[in-house]
This record gives sequence, structure tokens and C-alpha cells, in this order.
Amino acid sequence: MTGKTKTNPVKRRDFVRKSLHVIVGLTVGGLAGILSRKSSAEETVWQLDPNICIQCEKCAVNCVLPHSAVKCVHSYSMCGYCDLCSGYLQPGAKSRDTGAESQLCPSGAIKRTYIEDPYFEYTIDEKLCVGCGKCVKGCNSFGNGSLYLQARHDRCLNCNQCSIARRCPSRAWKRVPASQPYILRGDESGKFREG
Amino acid sequence: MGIFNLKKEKILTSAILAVSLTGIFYFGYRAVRGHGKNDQQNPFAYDIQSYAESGADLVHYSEVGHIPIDLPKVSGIAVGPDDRIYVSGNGSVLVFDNDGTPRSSFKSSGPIRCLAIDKNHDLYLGMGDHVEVYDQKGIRQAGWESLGEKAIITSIAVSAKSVFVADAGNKIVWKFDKSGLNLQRIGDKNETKDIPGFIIPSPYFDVAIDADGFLWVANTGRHSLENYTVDGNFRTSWGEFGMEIQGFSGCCNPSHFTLLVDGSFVTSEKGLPRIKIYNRLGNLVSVVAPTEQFLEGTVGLDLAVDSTQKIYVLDPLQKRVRIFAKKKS
Repeated sequence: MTGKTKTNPVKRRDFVRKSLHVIVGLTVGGLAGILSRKSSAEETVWQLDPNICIQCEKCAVNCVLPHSAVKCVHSYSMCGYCDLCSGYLQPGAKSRDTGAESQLCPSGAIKRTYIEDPYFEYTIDEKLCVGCGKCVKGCNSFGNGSLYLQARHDRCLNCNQCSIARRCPSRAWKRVPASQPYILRGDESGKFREG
Repeated sequence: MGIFNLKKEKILTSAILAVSLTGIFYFGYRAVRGHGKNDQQNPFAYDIQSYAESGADLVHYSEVGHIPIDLPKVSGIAVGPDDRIYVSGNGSVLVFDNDGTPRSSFKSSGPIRCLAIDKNHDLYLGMGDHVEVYDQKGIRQAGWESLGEKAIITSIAVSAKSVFVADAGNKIVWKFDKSGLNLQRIGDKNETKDIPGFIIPSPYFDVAIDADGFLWVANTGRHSLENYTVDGNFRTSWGEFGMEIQGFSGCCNPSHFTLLVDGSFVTSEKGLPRIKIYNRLGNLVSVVAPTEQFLEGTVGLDLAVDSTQKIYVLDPLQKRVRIFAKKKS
């Protein structure tokens, strides 16, 4: 007896097997963790912040859809229902009517309806709206900004890399919670936006 | 026959070469000059530049100085009976001598939208839905009743006995006595009295008292200035829409106005920011500052005039009081 106890050396095969078990275990655990984190985080969608938007016209031509998902929307609580609507009429329009030569919208997407003297209501036909923001610019310049642009989520593909957002010069595009997909103006009391 | 074919081939080759070279030069030239892309008018462009340039021959005023305003947001300007300049902002009033030297300042109980000063140096501040009165030292004297949830007070004019408050939210001018007692609504549509009613599409709605004690109100949606007795009887009006320099542009202008000692009107517009002077009959006589003198996006140019007829323009984008005086002819 020498007093030394002989220990069994770890066999190479066992070492490799155990190592593989650890690696596989860690990988599966990590993936499960990542997936569970992703599923618990709230989904987000793209939206245009109308308070930052400068109506540069890029939304009309940079969407991957054949007709841009960006449309003009209207806050009726803010609208002044003007006869001389600077979002509807050309700046130098000779008459305040629905003639094509008087209309600002290049696609005729805004409908003007008489209510009572001297008020008119303006509604957007989204099928015709191309999202150029020309009316928005007119309304923001002279009016109170009741016309503004929004990505409409009944058609937006919510691309990971939004091609409009990438080209937006004012960085007005942001991810917003899918549960609140719009950045709206106006309110029930009809208060004006601070000009 | 062989020679003829060779000649034909040479001619063909030369023609192809010539066409190719012409094409290369043509498209190369277009690429370098950027033609082809920009030769069409942009149908989406909102262009009002041509209107911004009108009226250059009527500019009879020049900017003679400015006072920088150190406030996060500026809202209103008034000139006191001693020609001191009062500027309001978020929750402060700054007081300057008319040479721009700061005199004093004080804080209010909340954000101020507009202000007016009477001959006793009492300050009337429009605080959203109500008026507060401060003395010359900035001590709060009174807070008047709220004009309701919809109220947006945009301008105040003070006469010897009354205070007229323009409320853009309710589209009405309220008449108070100086103790804050609400006396009367002025401007409700009334066909028998020929009162057209105020159309106020955006929160700019200005009032002023003229030298004869009559009330002037900017009915912006009708592009007119309307004159009322202090009891609310409609007297007259003038003004018309026009993108050109003679008219008031856009849906709703003038956004602000004030009166010169001879009864002329100094007006400011938004959309096409420009400041003009009309005589008592409403005829354009001068341009104080054309559109080119303002940054794009300038709105809400409040105005005031001192006893020497200098015109003070509160430029909210540049955060300064810009002082204009008539050019020496």
C-alpha cells in the first residue's frame, strides 16, 4: 500500500458528451428566454408624429405600397369649417368652389360640403388621397392644423425598416404601441392647438 | 460588288458610332445637369412664394433695433402709458424701457396668452380662460371669473371704464367693468342689428380701442376689422381676402392689429407673415415688414405702438421684440 488512492481520469468521450449537454442546455434555455421576452414586450407599429412633420411630400412617394399608407386625416373638433379653407383651395383660387382649378389637392381627395352660411365641411376620401401633405401644409400655414398626416394601419405593412421613415428629413416617424397606433389631434372640447 | 458591300458596311458602322456618341453625349449632359428629373413641376409643392414677394415698393419702414426676450415661449406685447414695453411669456411678464433696457419682471400664477395696460399702469393678463389683474409692481390684485371650459382669451383692450376681452374659443368679445363684473357679450350674430357674427377658425382674435373710444375687433374668418360701439352696436367694417399685398391672406387674418395715433391700422398676418399699415378707410398705405423679413413658420406676430409711433413686433420664433420706424424720406 502506498497510501495513494487512484482516481478515475475523466474519459475524453464523457467530457465531450457532458460539454455538449451543457452547450445544448444553455442554447435551449437562452432561446426560450429570448422568445419569452419578445412575446411579453408590447408590439409596436410605425406612426408619423404630426407635431414634427414638415409636409415634405416624401410620404407620398417612398412607401413600398403602390399607394402610400400615409393619408390625410381630419380633426373635426379643431376644424374651423371655413368657406375659404386654405387646405382645400389653391392659394390664388379665383373662386371658392369645387372646380378642379380651385382645388389644392392634386388627386381631388377632399370633399367640400355646404353646412350653413358661411361654413363648409371637408372630408377626406382615403382611396384618392396619396399622402402628399399639400393640404396639410396649407392648413398648417394659415389655419389651425386640423388636417394632418397619419399612417393608416388598415393598409400599412409595418415593415421593420419603414422606407418612408428612413427618408423622413424631420425624423417625424416613430414606433408607437400597437394598442395606440395613432397620434391624434383635437379633443372633445374642441380646444385649439397652441399655434 | 465586294467594294460596294465594304463601303456600305463602313457607312453603317459610322452611322451606328455617330448615333451612339450622340446618345452618350445627350444622356451624359442630362445626367450632369440633372435634367429629366426636375423638368416637371412638383404637383405636391405648396407654393406661396410669389405672394411673399409682393409689396416691396410699399416698404416705408425699417427695423431700427430689437430686444431679445429670455423666455421659453413668448405670447403678448403691450406698451404702457410711459412707453415702457411689457412682454408676456409662459408665466412671466418682462418690462423694458423703450430703448430695450430691462426694468423689471414678475411671475404670474400661470401661462399668459395676452396682456393690456391701462392708464393707471394696471396690467390685465389673459390667462387662458380668465383675466387676472396685477399692479405695476407685479402684485396680483384680482382674478376674474372663468369664461368657461371652451374659453381661449387671445386679446384684451382697456378703456377708461371697461375691459374688452376677446375669447377665440367662444367666438365672442366680453365686456367687463374694471372690478371684473361681466357686463355684456359683444358680437353675437344678429341680423336685425346687422351683426355678422365672429368667425374665428384659429386662436387669433384681436381687439383694440381707437382714439374715439370705439371698439375694433378682427373678424379673421371674414378677413375684416369690425367697429362696434362700447355697447356692442355694429358700426362699420373694412377688409377683404387677398393673397396679394392689399388683402388679408389665408383662411383667417389679420391675426393681430393695433392703432396708430392718426387712426391708421397696423396689421400682422400668419401664413404669409407680413406687417402692413392701412389708413382709417381701410386702404393699404405702407408695408412695415414684408414676408421675407420673417423666418418660415412664423405665426402670432403681436403688435404694439409707442407715443413716437414706433412699431413693436413680438416675433415668437426669434424670441425678440423687433422695433420698426418710418424711414426718413
